[in-house]
Amino acid sequence: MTSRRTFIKAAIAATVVPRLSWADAGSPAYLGAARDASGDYALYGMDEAAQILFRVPLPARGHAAAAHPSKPEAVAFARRPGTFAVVVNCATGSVTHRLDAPQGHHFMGHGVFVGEGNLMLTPENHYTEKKGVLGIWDRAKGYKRVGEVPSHGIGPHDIRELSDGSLVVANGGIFTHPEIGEGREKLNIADMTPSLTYLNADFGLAEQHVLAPELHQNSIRHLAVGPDDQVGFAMQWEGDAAEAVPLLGLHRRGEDVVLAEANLAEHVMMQGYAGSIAFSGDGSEVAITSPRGGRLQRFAADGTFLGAVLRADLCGLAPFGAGYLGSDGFGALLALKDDMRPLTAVPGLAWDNHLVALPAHVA
Amino acid sequence: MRFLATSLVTSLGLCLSLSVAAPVLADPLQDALTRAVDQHATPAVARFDHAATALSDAAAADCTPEAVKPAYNAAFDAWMGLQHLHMGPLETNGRILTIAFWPDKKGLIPRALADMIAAKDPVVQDPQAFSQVSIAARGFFALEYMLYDDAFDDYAAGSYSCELVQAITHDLGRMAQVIDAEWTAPDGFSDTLREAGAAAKPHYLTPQESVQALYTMLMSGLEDTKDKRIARPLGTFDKPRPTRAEAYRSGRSERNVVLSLIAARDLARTMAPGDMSASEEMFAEVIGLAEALNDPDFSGVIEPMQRLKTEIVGQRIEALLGALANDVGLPLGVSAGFNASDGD
Repeated sequence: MTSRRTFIKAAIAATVVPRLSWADAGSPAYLGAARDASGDYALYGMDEAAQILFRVPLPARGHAAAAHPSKPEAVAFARRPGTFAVVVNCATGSVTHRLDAPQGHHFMGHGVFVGEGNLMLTPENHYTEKKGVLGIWDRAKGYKRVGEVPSHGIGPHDIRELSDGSLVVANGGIFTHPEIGEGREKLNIADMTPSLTYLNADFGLAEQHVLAPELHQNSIRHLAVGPDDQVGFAMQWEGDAAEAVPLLGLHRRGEDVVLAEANLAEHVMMQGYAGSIAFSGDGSEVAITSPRGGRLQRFAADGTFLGAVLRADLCGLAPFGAGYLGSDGFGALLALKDDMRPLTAVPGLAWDNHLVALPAHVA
Repeated sequence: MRFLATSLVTSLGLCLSLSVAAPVLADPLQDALTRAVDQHATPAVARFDHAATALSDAAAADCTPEAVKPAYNAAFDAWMGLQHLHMGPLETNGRILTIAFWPDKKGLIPRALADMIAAKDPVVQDPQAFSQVSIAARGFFALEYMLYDDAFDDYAAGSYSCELVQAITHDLGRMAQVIDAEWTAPDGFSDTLREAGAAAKPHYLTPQESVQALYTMLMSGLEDTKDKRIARPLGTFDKPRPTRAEAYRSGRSERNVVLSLIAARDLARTMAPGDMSASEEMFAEVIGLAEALNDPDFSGVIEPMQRLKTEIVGQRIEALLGALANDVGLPLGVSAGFNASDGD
């Protein structure tokens, strides 16, 4: 187990040398949150072959994580409507900071480092004001909250940075309130208005796309960025699943949104729900998963349906090789493209919703 | 002390008699798997193959509605024993939905059929080409329009509609045969399920995953009956939607609920590693309630009393799901998918 030795060595080294890189964490290529057999939650790091390198306990159910572009630091976010996030030193396994959402806000399970990694942004539901914001956290100041800007929509969920430093935000459109029900009850389905929103590097509104009125209940939830800043977005339909609306959108700045769907028989099996989205490792295509429909659907960059791979409870998705890495609720990490190939299986482990690929240059 | 010793002997004796009576319980997972595949799924696949072939033969002999209806209903009955198994050959190429395209919220079926009839589309003469046409013009629900709907069922032998009915039934028979072949072939899907990670064509990594998959089918099949077959026609109290009932044209709405419950009970019985008397009681109750509706096409949901009775069937299915989780899921160590049941 080289990985374990690397981890221990790194942990010892950490006490002497403060300047750590991702190599000190065993050069993980992926991060994923999971629940283990005993019911505990943790963040895991995996190498390029999807073998587990490290495990860092989390205080509650996680969702996704943000990885620093160069330092072996990841921010693991509590699941919606959680109000905490923890900064994990992936080389030492220690939690170095805890982020708390301000009064009247909660996190949405996602976040992103921007620039050189000096700032981290967190989509938040500012529920007392009924608006979406992006929290701004300064790493150099010990992850101090230094401000917030509007997300220009309700329910901002996922966020990505484009190559020019601009931002793309998935405003899911759904309003929830932590004090109503379980805090996940959808309170505005009748008039929800999701949007795909671009912000300049200085956070000003740059471009916004709203779907056709008959698709206003299609929550734009998750994002992936492909070659030449092509944005893919995955949706979750709040209307009658029998209407079988598109669940994948593709977009480039300044162009029209392209909505994509498989043939009818295949498309309906998604059950109106796309859980995760990723471009393939070679960037030539994009895929969405449906844990409810138990499948991955692949599409060309122009939206042409390429094929499906069936796997129950499949949700997490990231680029891998020329294709994808998928994770499921049965502890498996799978290589996916034309078919599926299991890489790792940990009995009793349930991978949660998303896999995060670390930036390629960190290895 | 004396009391302790006695009870120890008693419990030893109990253990002994249990192990003699039920030696097969050594591996409940593999046991549930073998029984569910061999006693539930594979026979259902074979029954559907036979019934769909008989339907195809019946329509080939006489395509007129009254001649086809008995075989249509027999084949649909057989399908209800299988339609909850969203796996393997049933899922390949979207077959489940091609065989039973419901609900058709956008009204694609009557449009597709009307277009074909108006154009006298020659695709009906070429089985290979017909297997590529829209799923809206194929399967049981397209056929139901042709046999039962006033706009379509007035056709004579030798007409284009007659050929269309023969094409749809032939296509159904062909799909049933392919499912059967892919299921039962050496190294086919029944082996994939039973042998899990050791199968020649593995899909499930462990027997636990195979059992998990079957358990998910058991539960989601019942959820479908509750959320679609029952909830769709119920609509809201102010606006019941009887024409959203499944297969109401052929008066099969209630029958499909009953048959789906019976199929679920059959699957649960093969999987349960021990006592499932709580589930058995609830199955008996809910099947009885569904049969007592006496409302074949669910048109009665517009009456408050009948609506209430129908609603209660859905509520009892909900309760049944809890009993099955205890009797089947818990002892086998399986539950609903982590992400499937609770996404974000």
